[in-house]
Amino acid sequence: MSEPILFNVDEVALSADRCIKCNVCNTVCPVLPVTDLFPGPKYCGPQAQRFRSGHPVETWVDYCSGCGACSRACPSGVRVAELNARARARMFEQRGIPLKNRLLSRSETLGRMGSKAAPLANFGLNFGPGRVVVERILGVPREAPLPSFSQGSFRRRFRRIPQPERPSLRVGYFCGCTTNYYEPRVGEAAVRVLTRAGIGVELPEQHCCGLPFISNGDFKGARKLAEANLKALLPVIRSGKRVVATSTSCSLTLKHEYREVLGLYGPEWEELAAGVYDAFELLRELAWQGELELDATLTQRVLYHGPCQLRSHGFGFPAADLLGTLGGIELAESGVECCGSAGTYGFKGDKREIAFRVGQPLAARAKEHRAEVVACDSETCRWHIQQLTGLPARHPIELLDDAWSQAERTGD
Amino acid sequence: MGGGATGAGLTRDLAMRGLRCLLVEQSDLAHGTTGHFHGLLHSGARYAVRDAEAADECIVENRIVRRIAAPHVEDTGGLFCWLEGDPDDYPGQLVAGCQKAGIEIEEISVAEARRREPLLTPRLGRAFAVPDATVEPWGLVADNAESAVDHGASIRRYTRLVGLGVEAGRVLWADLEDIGSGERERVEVNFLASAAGYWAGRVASLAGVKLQMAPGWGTMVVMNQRLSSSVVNRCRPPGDGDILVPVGPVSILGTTDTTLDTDNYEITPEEVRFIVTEGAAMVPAAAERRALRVFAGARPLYDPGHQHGESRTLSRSHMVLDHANDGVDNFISIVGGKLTTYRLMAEHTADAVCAKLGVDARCRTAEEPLGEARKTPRHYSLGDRLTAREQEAGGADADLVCECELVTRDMVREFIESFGTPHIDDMLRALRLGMGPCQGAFCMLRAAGILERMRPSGAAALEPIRLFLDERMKGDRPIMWGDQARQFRLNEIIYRDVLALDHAP
Amino acid sequence: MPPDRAPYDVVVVGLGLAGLMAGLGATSGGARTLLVGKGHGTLRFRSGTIDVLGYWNDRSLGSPAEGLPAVAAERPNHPYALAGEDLGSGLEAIRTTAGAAGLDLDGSLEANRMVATAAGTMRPTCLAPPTMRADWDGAHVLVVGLAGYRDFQADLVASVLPAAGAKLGLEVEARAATVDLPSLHRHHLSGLELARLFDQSAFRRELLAALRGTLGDATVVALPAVVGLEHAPEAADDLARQLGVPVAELPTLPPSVPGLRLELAITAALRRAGARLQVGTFVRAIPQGGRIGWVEIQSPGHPLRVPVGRMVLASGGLASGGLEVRLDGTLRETVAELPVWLPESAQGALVGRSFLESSGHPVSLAGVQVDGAMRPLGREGSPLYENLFAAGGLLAGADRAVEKSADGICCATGWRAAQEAVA
Repeated sequence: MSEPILFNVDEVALSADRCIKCNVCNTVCPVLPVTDLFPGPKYCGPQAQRFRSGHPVETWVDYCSGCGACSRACPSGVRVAELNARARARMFEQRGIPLKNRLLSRSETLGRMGSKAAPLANFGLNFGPGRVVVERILGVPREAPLPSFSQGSFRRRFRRIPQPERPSLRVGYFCGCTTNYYEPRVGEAAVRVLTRAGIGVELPEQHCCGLPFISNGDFKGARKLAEANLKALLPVIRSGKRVVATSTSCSLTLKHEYREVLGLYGPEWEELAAGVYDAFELLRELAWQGELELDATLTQRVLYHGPCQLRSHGFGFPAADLLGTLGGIELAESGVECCGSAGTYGFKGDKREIAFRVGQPLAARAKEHRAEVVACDSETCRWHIQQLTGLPARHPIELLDDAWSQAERTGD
Repeated sequence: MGGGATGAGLTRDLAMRGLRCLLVEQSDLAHGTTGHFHGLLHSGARYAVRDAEAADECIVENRIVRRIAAPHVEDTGGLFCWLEGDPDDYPGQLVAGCQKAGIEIEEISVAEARRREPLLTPRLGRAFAVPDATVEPWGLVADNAESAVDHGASIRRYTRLVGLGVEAGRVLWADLEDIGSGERERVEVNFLASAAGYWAGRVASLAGVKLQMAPGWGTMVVMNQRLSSSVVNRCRPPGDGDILVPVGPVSILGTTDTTLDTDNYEITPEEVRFIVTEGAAMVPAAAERRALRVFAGARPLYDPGHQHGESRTLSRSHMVLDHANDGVDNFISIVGGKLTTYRLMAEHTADAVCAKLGVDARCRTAEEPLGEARKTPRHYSLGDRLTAREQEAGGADADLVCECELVTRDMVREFIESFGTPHIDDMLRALRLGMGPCQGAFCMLRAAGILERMRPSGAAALEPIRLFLDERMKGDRPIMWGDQARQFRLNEIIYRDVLALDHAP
Repeated sequence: MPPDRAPYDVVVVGLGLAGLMAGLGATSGGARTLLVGKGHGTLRFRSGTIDVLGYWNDRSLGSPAEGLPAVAAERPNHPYALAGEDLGSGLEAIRTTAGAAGLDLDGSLEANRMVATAAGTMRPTCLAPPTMRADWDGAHVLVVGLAGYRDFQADLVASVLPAAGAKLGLEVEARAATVDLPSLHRHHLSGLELARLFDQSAFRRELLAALRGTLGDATVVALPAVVGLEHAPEAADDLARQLGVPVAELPTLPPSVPGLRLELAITAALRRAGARLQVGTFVRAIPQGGRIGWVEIQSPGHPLRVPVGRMVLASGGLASGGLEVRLDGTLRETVAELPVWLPESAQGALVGRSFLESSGHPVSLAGVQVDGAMRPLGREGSPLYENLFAAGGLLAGADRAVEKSADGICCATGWRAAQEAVA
């Protein structure tokens, strides 16, 4: 197992040097305006970093939601969010990771167990007393939105989707835990879209990307998953296929958090990062090269929300770019940094209120646009947004799939 | 004369022996060499090969200072790093010398050295652990001064000695000038002890005594973050640029040696690059990381037959000079030495003074702890201020005046109350205000505001900021590159573009 | 890749005032525009005013118009000399854009107005929100500090302001009052938090109640420049109405609330105009023959290459990272590796000995040299790339800190660069 470079000495930690105390990070943090419990990314990151020597770290670092807005806004290149994530892990290391964090991390295990017993599990999740139990053990408040478990694994459904005979290129689809156990329809839509675009899709061996472990401070658990994914996905990349994901949280974890948060560096990790693509990133690339025509219609009022993790990818909003070309669509963008859920952050008892407040501007925007649906590339965001706005929230690839399916049916 | 470590330590020692003392300091306490050194509380290993006496003195005093000034000492430990290409007979000599002087030295594996210090160079061949520590000088001096006052001494800061009256081989009076008001006062002198560091020559000349000092200027580079958690030394004969010292949140790289009798030593960018390059030989990150500021301190060396050149090979032990030999009976100067042995220097000087005055009292400064050390033996630890914020303030930062160094409003107010109308630079020394990466960008305005509220000065209320800005320039000019250049421009935007201090009344 | 497939007509690199102005210029010219930058620009540190030209040759200028001819004559490579009429157009553009968001930016090139600062000093500016201008002459100022807010030291302001006014021939009296309100008892209280409090009428009631009876003969109430973020004009109007005297905002340390108000107004306008903004990644310009072929956006894992039709480089100066000083003291332009022009005076030390040196620091004049069309010049003096334009803090030839000209240069050259880019 690769030994991570010690936290206080790698490029990320030493990036704290570049802080000129301009305060721009504090102007974009979505948590700061809604709670007085968090002193802000500047303090949490580069400021406290100079004083951290392995001793117990401050408990308030847990209020950082991990949305990454600070790192993006920093004009100097300080990895503020990554410093905060590490501080949180260090804090849990010192104080022990709460049981509820451990359980929430294990989304893959939870998913697998729940999926096998889906109807029963769903009953439990929808039934009052069941939610009280979940609240007690997982710390997930009874009114927080939880996805239903889905029956049967995604792999079985994947095999039923026809592949192009002569694909222009091939990719390995990283479906993620959510697609696998909760929302296989997203995966199905993705595979349909990719194959229609002439891309051959495989479903390689893969594991939970580990993001829930990272957000809950369990770096050890996260590194085990990282190693497993490296082993499973490198061969795919080396065979000339890109690894394509629809969850922007998963893809960011694979190509960024493994290195800058977990401290896993080296040529193989670089290779993995270079080979991971977001589905819309790939589709847009093809469109820009003239190899993809989106000749379809979607008559809907859509509010697109680019999740915080998508923003950290740094390639803009390819989903919005492509959806915007559909005929009949009334597309607006949320214009906010974060919906409030930030992965599993918004689902934990004491953070639920914060998540709700952070999400208010988005809810207002949806109302202003008279949106019928909110499109968002990240799953936990969708669940949170549904509760926030009362509107259906779908992955943009589902909307594209809808538009194309419609076009096929009507023979457009 | 002289409010550095030696002067404050001497005043304490004499006061504890029952003498009534007045300590006169021309600027702020610890403003001279004491406030411009690298912070190393030597184990003595550095001198073990060439200067056994100095090595022995160091280890004994190291242990004493750790005890009596515990809160100002960080138990960092030290490493001597032998790199491929360094003289291979030195490690053996080092070990032998240390053992002879009673300095604990242990060779550790390269793997273990790297575990402790991940940023060490790949060229590390051998490593030796020694009991180096680091000491924060202002707290040390302030505690000595406080102890002196507790035992009846008086202290005058920002007071210059402008004249000495000598008659029939004795100093009879001293003319003192208050720098702020310009007022002069003549004070009767029974005995004059000079611990004026490299200014000792000037004090002596006022008494008609010729005392040739050879100030050995050494430049140090402060890095924004710690590059090591222990003191990193080069395992070869002592030379320039061969130490990296973790002091508070920073690392100090040092040092050089240029003998020059001046008050304004000009640090050049070339000198800085040299120090950084030498430091990078041991810790490569030193050449890539942010240098925060530079400063220079003058070793107070005495060499009666001095030729200009390298002063390092002169004995660094101190000398107590009885000026009866120069025709003035009640005048003694203490010259040379290093901060690590300040207490011993003070003891020797106090012994000499007491002998001349016929006072029979022994030195107890090694036995009695200073300040907070009376309550707790706990050493300073890097995370202390952060932990204090967590425990006392739950992560609040509204009351932080200096955010970089976690200095609170209460700390600033208390300091102003104790010290009258301090310069912001005094707050910097005592509280670390303005020592962080932004070099005062935010805390300057806040501190000036608190000062104006507590000690109004009217239209001149911005003067403290102007002075502080120019002080910072001294340390920034020679390193005007990279992140520090960016910081400079941001600070210019704040203080010129936005606050227009360049057109202040 | 065929040019008509290029997803954007104009790519602007840099999200500071110059970049945003270039974006406004490009979109108003009908160009499909991408604005991309590492982070936000210095608008969030400054005052939220548009300083055009306050000083020239050690003289305080009654108006920018008064000094501009001298600038053009004495320093032909000054950005104002090169941008010409586009200064006026740029100012008009920002005034209109701010106005659309309900933010007034009053003023004209015919007059400089004095803004009071949180240091008690006074500074000339050209365009400013109405809350930053007051009738200082003969004013009795009540300087109101807010307990717990460390970035506005009322006693200091009240001590310095009269002398600052006197220096300009203005009679100003000032006294300080610090109010302690329950809402201010927070763990975290920066200008932003305060501004959000000011947005709420309940907080304003609290403040007004505390100020009742303390006004005396005050003709102006001076507050830190944090009076509202999203509802700034209403917040200030409400206070002024209730107090019966005008409220003056005094700019202070970053984060700049007025700067943020202005930036949000401009970015909202850009989004409405269909521009795409991407924050968070470093960018490199990749040349291809005599033009810039792509920008390479440094996203994690693998970069995103965006083909470039025209490019405006507005990456800022030293504070923004557009220029950097290397370890050996030389300067580097960080996006396109353009040659950096250094004045003679900077061949020695880059900075002087005194921070507030009246002649400024040599390095301040350094930057990228452009021609009248804002095209960066090579060492022999001709444009390097046919489709590259530069604007803002990156440009050589002006000491913005001494002249008090940073914002005007951004508006003028950002607008100009955009006109050239869409031509």
